Amino acid sequence: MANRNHILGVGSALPDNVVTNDDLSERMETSHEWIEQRTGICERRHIDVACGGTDLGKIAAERALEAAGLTIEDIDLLIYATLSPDLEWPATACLMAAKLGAPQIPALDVRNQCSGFVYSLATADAWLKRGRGSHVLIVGGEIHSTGLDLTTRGREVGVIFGDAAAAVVLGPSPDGEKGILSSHLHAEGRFAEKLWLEVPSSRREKHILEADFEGEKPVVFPYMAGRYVFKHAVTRFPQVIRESLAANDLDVADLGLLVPHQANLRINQVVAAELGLDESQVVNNMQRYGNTTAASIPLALEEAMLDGRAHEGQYVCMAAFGAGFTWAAALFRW
Amino acid sequence: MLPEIRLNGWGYCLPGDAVSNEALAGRLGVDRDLGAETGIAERYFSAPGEGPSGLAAIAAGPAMAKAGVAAEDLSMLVFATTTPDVAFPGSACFLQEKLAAPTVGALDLRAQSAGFVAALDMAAALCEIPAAGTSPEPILLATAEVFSSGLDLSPSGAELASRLADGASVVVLSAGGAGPKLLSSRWYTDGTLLEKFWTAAPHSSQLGRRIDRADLAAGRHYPQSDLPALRGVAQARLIEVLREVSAETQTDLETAARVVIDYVEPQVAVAAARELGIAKDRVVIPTASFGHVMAAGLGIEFARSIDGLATGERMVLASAGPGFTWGAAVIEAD
Repeated sequence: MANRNHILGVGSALPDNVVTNDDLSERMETSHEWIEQRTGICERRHIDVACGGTDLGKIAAERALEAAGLTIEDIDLLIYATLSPDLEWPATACLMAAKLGAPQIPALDVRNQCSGFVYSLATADAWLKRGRGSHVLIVGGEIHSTGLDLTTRGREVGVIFGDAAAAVVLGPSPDGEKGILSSHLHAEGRFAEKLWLEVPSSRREKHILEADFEGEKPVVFPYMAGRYVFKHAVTRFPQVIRESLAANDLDVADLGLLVPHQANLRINQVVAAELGLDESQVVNNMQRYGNTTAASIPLALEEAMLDGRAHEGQYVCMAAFGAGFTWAAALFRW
Repeated sequence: MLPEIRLNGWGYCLPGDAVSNEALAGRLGVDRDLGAETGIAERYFSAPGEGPSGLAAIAAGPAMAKAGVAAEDLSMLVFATTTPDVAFPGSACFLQEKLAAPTVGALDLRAQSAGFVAALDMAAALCEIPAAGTSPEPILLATAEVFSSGLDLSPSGAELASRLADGASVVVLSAGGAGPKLLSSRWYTDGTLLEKFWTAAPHSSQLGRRIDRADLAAGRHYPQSDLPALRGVAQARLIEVLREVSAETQTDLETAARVVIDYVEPQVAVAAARELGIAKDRVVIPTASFGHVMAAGLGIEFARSIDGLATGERMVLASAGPGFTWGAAVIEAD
């Protein structure tokens, strides 16, 4: 008897404010063509009123709960995945729980960047299988726009990221068949500084200083060694996707749909080609939302569920690669 | 039937030389008896460059030796901290590099003072059940804090600079092998009290800039608290969760070998123990010995004293702190 957990509901929320590549070209030396060619991204959302990831997260979570036919009272654990927490500490999950009017439940942050959603899925699935509860709410929430250098100096990173929140409810499989078959988590910490945000940094003498705002590459902004990340991403993605299939005695020919992290369309195209997947089998929506890190997979999944690309009986793989480096995959029977 | 989770090895790190109350009063520029004010004997501040992952790497040495595992045997790293090495990626990635661990998962959690219990709860769930005839695959769980680099070391910061401190603990756990058994781990959150004990900046919801010079000038990057407002809640929640794990595991708190209660104000822990009728000589308050090391306090005390328990004797550990978050665990010596 399979003891599986499935995604029972998905929801998302985006700021209304659309920022096109042309809009960015007015703020920095770049162009629509330059951004589109390298990343596939055409537009993203940036907040234009003070708003935290938990404000978007509240809307996303309520939609996910409604889709699952549940209320916040049914939730036994809240996981908030983010790299742009509403505040330094406590965990943004605490604020999320308060905004949702949650009863006194366990709530924590998972800080695994672009892999945060898949890491959260794996953790939630394990926690449920240990019999600690029946439903977990996972919210991926990011407000990147307030932490980016949106000048020419910061353009390599600044053009990529967007604000969003997306949530899922994980709970008992409705038929015992649908649900997570297995998940696979990886990291390679020696590349931590290839894609990172240094401050605040507890390992320094002072965690944040005036000087951190200065210089050619101010350390209050994220840094990315773009080509380096690209190279590792196109290796690790196919590896972990194949690993998830092999663990279930399946191969790429059995895969129905891939819902990858939405960092860069060119990465996802290389991955699809490497695996021999048809374009229609890979969900991409970063063209419209940019990279929304921990929110990207549920945001893409919701779209694939609404337009019918994710359908019953398929094998669906959710996979991610990003800062850490971390990478991960979860294979579902849908 | 769920497998028993065993703590196969443990270690801790209190870095450098102890900072006495007199020495700290000098650094803070206050002429007060900090020992009498805080109930804290002394605390440890780490050297710049070490960071939480550096302290955890030191604690990992004895933990892995005791468990008889090498870095290449680990199936995963789990890291709970409130004060990560850098903003992102997480400290588990930096620890992975320091231990030269293979490319296994590196999960980073944020649950403040409940960090040790929450991380135990999650790591226990993530332990793979060994197949017949194979050895259990251990998870390395690190809790570590470096508060010293982010404290306001001036008279206005004295309330928290005299209470928050640095340190780390590591436990190696698995679904098998030898060592103390984890009998229960329960923890909860009440986000409505979030702003009673927190660090306000960086704050990604701040339009325009997640952090700026004005935040630094106003000291919003330093922790702040309203400790008197939390005393009653902290005491009530500690009592509640201690009673819960006691009932669940049929552990009589009045006769348990050791009850460890960690709170930023030791007198709150004393009051909770008194109300529960626990004799003074069996209560240990980590904060009173080495300051409040938030996520790591319980783990450090566990590593310091579990060897003193005879087979079958139980250690009950509880803590509460920012979030507001609280939790308790019961561990039985083998």
